[in-house]
Amino acid sequence: MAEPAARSGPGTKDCWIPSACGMCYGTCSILGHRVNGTLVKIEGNPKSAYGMGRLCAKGASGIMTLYDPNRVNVPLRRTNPKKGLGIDPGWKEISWEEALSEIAERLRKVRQDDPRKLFIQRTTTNTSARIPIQVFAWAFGTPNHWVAGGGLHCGNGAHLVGGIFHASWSLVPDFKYCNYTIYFGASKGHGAGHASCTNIQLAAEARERGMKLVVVDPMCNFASAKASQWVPIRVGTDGALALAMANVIVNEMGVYDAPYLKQCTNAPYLVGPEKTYVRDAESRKPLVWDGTRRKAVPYDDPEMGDFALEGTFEVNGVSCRPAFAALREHLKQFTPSWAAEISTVSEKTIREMAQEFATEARVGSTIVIEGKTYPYRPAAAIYFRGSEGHVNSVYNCYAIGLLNHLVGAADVVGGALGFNPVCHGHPETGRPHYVPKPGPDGLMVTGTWLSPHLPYPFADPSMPEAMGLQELFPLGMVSPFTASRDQEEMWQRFQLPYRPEAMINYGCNSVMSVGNKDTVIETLLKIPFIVSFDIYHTEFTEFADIVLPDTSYLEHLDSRPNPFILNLHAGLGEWCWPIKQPVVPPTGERRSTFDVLIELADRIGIREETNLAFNSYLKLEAPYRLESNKKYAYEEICDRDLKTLFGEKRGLEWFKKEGLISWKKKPEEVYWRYEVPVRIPIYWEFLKPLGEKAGTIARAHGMEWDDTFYDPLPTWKPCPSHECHDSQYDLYGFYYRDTLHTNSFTMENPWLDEAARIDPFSYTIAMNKETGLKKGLRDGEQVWVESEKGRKVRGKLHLTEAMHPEGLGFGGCAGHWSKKLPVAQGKGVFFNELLEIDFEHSSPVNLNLDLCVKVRVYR
Amino acid sequence: MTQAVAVKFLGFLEKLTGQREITLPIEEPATVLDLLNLLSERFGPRFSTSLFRAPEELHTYVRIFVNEEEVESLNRPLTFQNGLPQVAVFLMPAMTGGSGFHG
Repeated sequence: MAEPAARSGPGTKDCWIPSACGMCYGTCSILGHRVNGTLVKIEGNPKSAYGMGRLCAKGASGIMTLYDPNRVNVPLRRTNPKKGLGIDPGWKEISWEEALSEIAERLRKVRQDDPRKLFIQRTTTNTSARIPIQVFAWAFGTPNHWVAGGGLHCGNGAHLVGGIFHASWSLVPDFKYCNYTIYFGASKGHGAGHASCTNIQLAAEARERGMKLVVVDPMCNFASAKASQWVPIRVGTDGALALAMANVIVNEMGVYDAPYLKQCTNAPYLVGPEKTYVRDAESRKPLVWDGTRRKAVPYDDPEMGDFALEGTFEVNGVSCRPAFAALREHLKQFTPSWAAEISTVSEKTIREMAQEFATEARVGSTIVIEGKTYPYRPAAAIYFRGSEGHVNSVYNCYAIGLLNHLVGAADVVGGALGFNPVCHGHPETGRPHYVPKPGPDGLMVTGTWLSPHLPYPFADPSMPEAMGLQELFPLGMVSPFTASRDQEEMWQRFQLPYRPEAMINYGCNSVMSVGNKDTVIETLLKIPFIVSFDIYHTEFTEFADIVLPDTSYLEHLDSRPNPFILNLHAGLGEWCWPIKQPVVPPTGERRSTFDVLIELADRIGIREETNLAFNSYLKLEAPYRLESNKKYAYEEICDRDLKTLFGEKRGLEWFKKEGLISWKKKPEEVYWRYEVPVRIPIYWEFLKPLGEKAGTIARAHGMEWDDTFYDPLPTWKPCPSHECHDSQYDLYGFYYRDTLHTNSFTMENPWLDEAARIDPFSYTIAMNKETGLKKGLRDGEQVWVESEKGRKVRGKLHLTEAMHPEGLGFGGCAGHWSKKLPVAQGKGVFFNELLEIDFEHSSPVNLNLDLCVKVRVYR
Repeated sequence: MTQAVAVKFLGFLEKLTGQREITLPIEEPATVLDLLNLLSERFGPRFSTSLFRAPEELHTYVRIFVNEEEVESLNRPLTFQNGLPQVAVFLMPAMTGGSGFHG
């Protein structure tokens, strides 16, 4: 990277402007080099912990997205009332005033009728949209808000379990101290994603230091290619492997971290024959067995002697045992031979992995950091989309997460770390400040979270009123029913009292990002009025009634683009709070969506709600709190946000010049597990009553319900693809995130397209070489891939040894067909076209969509 | 002594109660919880379950503001010395069945 020599203030003709990337949700810090008003280069900002001066290909290519000649520059109104795939909307240019008047009038009527009739959709790629769009939804009064493929594909399981186990959105190995890590369908530090550029550096340093990286994945790609060991696995079977490893660790090796389990988990809680806690009759608190006093006491008894983890006891006339004993017994059924048959990973490899993991965890050891002694457990198991994107999503992540907790390797030195679950704030202001706290039954409630959905505690299941029926699925986040085949059937079944009348879309291409396009389009056609904020036309905008020209990430402002639990690297280092600011002013008639939403809120008559929601969400404090009756520009709200957090002198003007503020992380913030009096559940007792309550409602409305997904202890359950026994369909299709692209968004970027065309995988269908040769297929030829449901895509075959014999891998979300995307059109393969979107293909616990599909391949 | 309090229903609560703003009498001394219990009696179980996760425990997506200041504790007393207290009850609906946003 060239050191920017002429770095100077934003007001000069030749300047470097600190801001934040928006090419993926990693949101690394950048410096934009602007010369005479034109952005000429983007580099990483070396002062920032977000990227540490590094920038990936996507970030460097952002300039081509900014100056894309196909950008939308004026508001557009549809003139053709007929909507459908390939039907020309007949766009007509209109003024902003015309557009805002029409939208405000429609939304005012919708709100008067029933605010839930507004459905809001936004992309996950641009993290800056999260707050203003959620605020608008709250102020409007609609619960119907989703991130399309986000969540269904990548977060309903991983983030849920991250929240329950680590009070964080995601987890990584403690790269600085970890010696042995297993990645289950994850690529942290080796590809795209949370804290991507920083993690790439930290992971490289860890590997160089000698950390053994074992990657469990059907494909040997980004992480596996740099790993010490690639463990090819049958698609969707990670949970079975993890359960067998857990069995080997606690039952064959007898290794577990008893002090950790006693102090930091619900392992000692007594469980009765009904699989629920045995509770204190008066306080209703779960009981534990005090081995010293030989009696049952509430888990938080101040006189507690020694928690029992094993044994059978008689309490209140009930035979019971500690949750750990129940778990240990439960795990015995998951033998390595059982898991080998399911996963294709050999018994020998399973035992070796378990033994290495448990041995490297060094249960009982300690380390001194900055003069203080901490537990030292330098082993970590992490998961992400590859393991969680299945109907068995919850149990898969639960089982993998258990590996860490059994050996006490969670949020301690060297173990699996959540992304910054504890923050004591800037030394001068004490803000931002958040710490996990004990909730019902002493279990951990996150200190902060990103969405209006806390991982724990759960609301009781109730008759659903949201389009996604989420009230019935308290562990769910995003729901497939907002765009599913069985949407109307479900709505009728649960007597949803309204139907969507209007939709606001922010930069999302849901026609491609959820599943097969026909199903999504069918749901869009039911919505009478659609407004889309976009930087360019996509397959989705064909279905919009009004398209509004949005600013790109290089043209708008955000005071908090980098939530600490989302994309600041875990482990020791620095806290860092950057802003995103325009590196060039918007051209044409582009306007920041965030200001447009404030304007719309005003026109609709929800200014008071909007201002109070901003106050609440941003925790604005006097004298920076918004007055309820005053109109504010988004820039002023950002200024007040920064001053609340960092003091009067560090408002927006200060941040525009400096770009960011940093301070040192304290070891007790990073390695907080023994510092904070919360417990995490190694036994998910809460699942059982949730399943029973939800099942009662579901069955009463004619819905089939499988209680076995709500057992308090994890198991492995097959995906629909595993239950396809038609021998014609002999391969498991899946997609993986390409480092060169972000979902479908970046496919139009010509630099990234050029790189992706050179890359042998980005735009091809990867098949095991031997499998391909047995089928008589040749590398480079065009093939059809057909699902058992008859959905088909066509693409170029790439034969490789870097693939499980039964796997078929597709890069990213490619295969655009819109003529408005001349660079992206026809490139790569649209894997999501093969995915069904319905309850049958969703987790009945957290609504994760199943992302693997049984296919056949032919010429 | 009977006092008056002005209550605004924001977000989906406006639809649920069918009103945006009401003024109602309340016996002094009174806390925010007393007021919410009063409102629950008036607007029924659906209103109550929209606010309360358990007795005296709000869903985390419920926000209460007194004179535009967000209330941290339901035991906060309502004070009447400076005129009619303005209370806003705001439902920030979770997009999921989970307990809601905080932080």
